[in-house]
Amino acid sequence: MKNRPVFWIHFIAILLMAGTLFAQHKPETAGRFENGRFVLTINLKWTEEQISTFASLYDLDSLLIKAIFEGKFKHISDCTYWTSTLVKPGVVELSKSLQPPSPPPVWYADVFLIDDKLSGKETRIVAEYADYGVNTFSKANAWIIRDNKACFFLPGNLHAKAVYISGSFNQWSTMQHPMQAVDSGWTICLDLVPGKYLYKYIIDGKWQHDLNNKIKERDGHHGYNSVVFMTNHYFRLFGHRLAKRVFVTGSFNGWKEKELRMLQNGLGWELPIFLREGTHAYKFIVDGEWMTDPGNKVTRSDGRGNLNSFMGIGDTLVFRLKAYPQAKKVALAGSFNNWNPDELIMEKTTDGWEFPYVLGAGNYEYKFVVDGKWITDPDNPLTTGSGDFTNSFISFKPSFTFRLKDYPDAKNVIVSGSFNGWSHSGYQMFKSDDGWVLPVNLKPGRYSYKFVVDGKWILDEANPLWEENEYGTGNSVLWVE
Amino acid sequence: MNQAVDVKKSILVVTLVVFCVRFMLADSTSGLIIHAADHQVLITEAHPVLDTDQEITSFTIPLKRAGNLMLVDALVDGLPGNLIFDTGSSRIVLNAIYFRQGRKVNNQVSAGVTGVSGPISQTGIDKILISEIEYRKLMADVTDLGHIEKARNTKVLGLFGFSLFAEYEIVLDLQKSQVVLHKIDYNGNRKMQEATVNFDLEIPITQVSGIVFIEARMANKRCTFCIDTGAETNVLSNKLPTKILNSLTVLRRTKLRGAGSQSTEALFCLMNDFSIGKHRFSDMNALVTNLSHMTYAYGFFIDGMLGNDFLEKGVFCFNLTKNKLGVNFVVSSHEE
Repeated sequence: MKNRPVFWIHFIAILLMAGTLFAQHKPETAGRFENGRFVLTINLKWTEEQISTFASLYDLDSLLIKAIFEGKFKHISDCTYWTSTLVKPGVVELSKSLQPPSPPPVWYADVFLIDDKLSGKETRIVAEYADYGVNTFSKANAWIIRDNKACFFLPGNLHAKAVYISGSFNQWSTMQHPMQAVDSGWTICLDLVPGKYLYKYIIDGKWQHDLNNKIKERDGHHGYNSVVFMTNHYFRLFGHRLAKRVFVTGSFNGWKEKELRMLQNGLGWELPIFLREGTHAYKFIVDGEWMTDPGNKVTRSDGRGNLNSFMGIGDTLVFRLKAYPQAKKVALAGSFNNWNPDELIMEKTTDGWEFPYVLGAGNYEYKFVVDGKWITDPDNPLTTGSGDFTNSFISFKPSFTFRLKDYPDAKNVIVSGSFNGWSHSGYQMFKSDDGWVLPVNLKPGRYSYKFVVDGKWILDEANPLWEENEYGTGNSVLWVE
Repeated sequence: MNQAVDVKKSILVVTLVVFCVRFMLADSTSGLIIHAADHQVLITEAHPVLDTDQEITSFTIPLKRAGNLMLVDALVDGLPGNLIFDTGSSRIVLNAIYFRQGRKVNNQVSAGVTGVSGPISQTGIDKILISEIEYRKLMADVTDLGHIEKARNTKVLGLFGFSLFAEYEIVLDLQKSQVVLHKIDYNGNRKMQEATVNFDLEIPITQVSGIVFIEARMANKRCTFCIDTGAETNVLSNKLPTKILNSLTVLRRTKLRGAGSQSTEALFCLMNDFSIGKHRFSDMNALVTNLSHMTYAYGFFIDGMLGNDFLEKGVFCFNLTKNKLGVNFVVSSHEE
């Protein structure tokens, strides 16, 4: 009788201990604080996957982990701040003091940034990249294209003192684009290049997504961003006025059949759409019947007996090779077609070979494949890489030009930065009248870079913006807007 | 006999004086325990210049969000860009990338001081325009904030804290991504009295150098926190008492990146037992890291910062004249 409470205490204690031990046998629950130390409990029976999760969760060195699982945990405390103990067979505790020698303290005026993966929340604004898109407004005048400008109309709010539009087109500036008051609301017309844009209105300082726009995305902060596509193409099908439903489908939307419904007008059917630059295959579906575009003569077979209409958006770049007239087969391969040497077969001309190709703005690397032999473009001085890995480089529709004045005697000048992964071979610049230049296509954003003149890394002297780097030598800073 | 009366009188006077001083101190610190250290940061007084014709008594500043940072559009000496609203900073801090005197040429600094982090220099600003408020003649620290720009791919001119909004009641509403400023009089009352505002929670605050501190309880122990809108999550000191640290669940280990190439270890945790007054806050995360430099900057020891995770829980109304914080909760947060 006397022993009963003692028995229960023991029983509960054993249960609790077992509970704690079991709870710590998973990588996700391995960490805890104990007496001023950070402790990780490791089960030596973990699978490879669990070990990898463990290493990633607690940012642990792979050599450290390897040593533990090879049973060498006794040596660990000698070389790092970690101490390891075998608490029982198969279970190792790795711990370190929270007190010095602990990490350097945080500086007072700094902000605390965290990774999205850490918070587990989606905080980043959704990417604005899209292959295609159509608009759906509940009011016809809420958004129209007039004189090649995108005109936004916010009805009502007549008592507001000020209304602004803020979006991805103005880097979400809250002051740059005030709207004009008109008799029934507020309006503004903006120059937008074709693409997808996110936006909101700011009515007397308060954010408001466009209630007349049915396309919206979560903004990651309890609200929505409205989505608008600056269109660059009309699909048109004349006639078929008695048809009930007409859809357009194509390579751009993965041939989804009932996604892009066309609108009836007096002459037939149409759909204003944004399509990314490049070549697209498409077909119309009229009341379930697939048909090519009768208004477009360009059709190609897909190799399985189907004929598709083809169209290109954007400009055509003609690749020319003025040599090798005797060659049997010359192909173009590059970063734009995953370096496939059998796809883009060039056509013979009087003095060589050429191939017209519709490309979107961007930086591309390419080579010609002459009877199986890869060569760089002899007429293009711009290259990337070195030795066998040299490729010809072309910037189609460049958005920025790097310029370095002087250095007339330099043999090799390259520009390297965050846009090309700080590659040591960088992008080759070419000599101009008063120095070196390189036009490139850079998407809007922040870049850091340096010039490398005959192997010596230097800052851009003409650019007052620079930041410190880990070597104390500084990097030039560039914003492309 | 007379001597005895004099002694009694002087004792009474001394007692009164001590009482008054204690009363004043108690009032100014609102009962918080603050361990004074030997360093304090002072802020230059900043008074907004408003258009006197317009009787603006309240206005709304839209906040832009980059990650969990809060940005406002600003013009700093004519340069447009973003300022981070960072109430953890007592001073205005400008990004050296845009506000440095010298420029670096051929790996040589032509002017200024080198150093990977820390305040590089100070500068005077003629004019800052934030929404409708204009400030003139301010002093600011200048340091490299490039790491924030890189992490958020957003142009950051600098950061500022509560000091610029001291003449207003500040209503921070992260659900709506906005700050509403209400002009207040010397007593801290709103000039335009709207319907009486009722709060779910009303607590005293303490201010030191333009930074707001509140008291909370963790694992049944009193802790002092600063309100830090520049912290993307809550931050706790790794020197907290064992009892408090033991109450946390460690989720991950990570690195905090600061200016230059500096990085520091941080442990990402779940705060299991955190309450203010009678309100228990659940589902909040925190980074545990070394905050000893913060302590040095603020002038006393702090246990941590309440950042985005905390401020997302409701609408926060700061009255820096009345030294009060009112909160209306918007997400589930149950009373004990």
